[in-house]
Amino acid sequence: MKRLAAAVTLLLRFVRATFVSGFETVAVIIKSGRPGGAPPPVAFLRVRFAPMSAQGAALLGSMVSLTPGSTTIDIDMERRELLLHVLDASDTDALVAGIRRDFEPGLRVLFGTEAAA
Amino acid sequence: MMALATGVLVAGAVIAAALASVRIIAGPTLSDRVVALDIFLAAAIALAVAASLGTGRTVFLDVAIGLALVGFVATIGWARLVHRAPRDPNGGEGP
Amino acid sequence: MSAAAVLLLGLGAALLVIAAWGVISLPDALSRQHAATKAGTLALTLVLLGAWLLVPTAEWAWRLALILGFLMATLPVASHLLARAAVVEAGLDQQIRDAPLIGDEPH
Repeated sequence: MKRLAAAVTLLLRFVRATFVSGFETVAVIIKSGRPGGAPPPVAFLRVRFAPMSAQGAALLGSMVSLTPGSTTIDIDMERRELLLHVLDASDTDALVAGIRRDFEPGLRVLFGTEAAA
Repeated sequence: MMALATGVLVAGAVIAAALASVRIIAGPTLSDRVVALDIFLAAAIALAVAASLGTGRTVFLDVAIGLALVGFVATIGWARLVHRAPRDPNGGEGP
Repeated sequence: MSAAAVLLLGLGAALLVIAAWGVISLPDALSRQHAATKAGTLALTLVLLGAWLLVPTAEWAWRLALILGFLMATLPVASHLLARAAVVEAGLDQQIRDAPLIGDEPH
């Protein structure tokens, strides 16, 4: 029951994050696409993620990819790091906070491996 | 109302496909062209939905289901090709 | 109902055009990829929702849900492989090795 609730919460948060950052991506395109607009501040970044199984990490990577504005390029299971390419690197704290707040709690309930922590 | 909705949808999809064509012709790398193909896929699905809204027949939605299923195969095939191909030190056209 | 559906379809069409415009205007393949796969899929989600509102029957609903489901399942795979290939093609390996670690430790 706890797992079901976690899965539903995760899904709802994921849908919300997709829509919110979808419109943010559209804003970036409009801002940098008009004549004379500066190119967006793209960057490669690494983010640590909570201890979880390989399936959980793959799902986390897919969710981060589906959330507009960030694409998973690589998942390092040994160091527990996601390698991301982000379109708007001006507010990296919000990006990390979004992953920690929206995705990790649910995934840890479903796929967590606390022994590895 | 229905005609207005499908008209807007068809216009949007056609404009998007035209813009993507510009990117496919301009390149400059293969990655850019494959990315533009993704826009073509989205436009094709939007057109299929518009077609079934216009005619009221679900058969065009089945076309869109097929497109959504196989649309990513080209991307994956190309990505495999780039990983296997010898590296071109100058970038540019790629393999 | 009908007005909301038309609004969603129009918004979806507009987003599709903006996504295509992003593919034209953004500076490199990796950032264009964001526009094409993410904004494009968001546009299609709105279009499919709008179509469902216009024709709220079961035989349309499950087909639309199936389209959305397939898109959502295949998009991360395509996007991930495309990004990796674009990195290889553009020769950005060094930039990837230098990528900074951001954020606190997960707790």
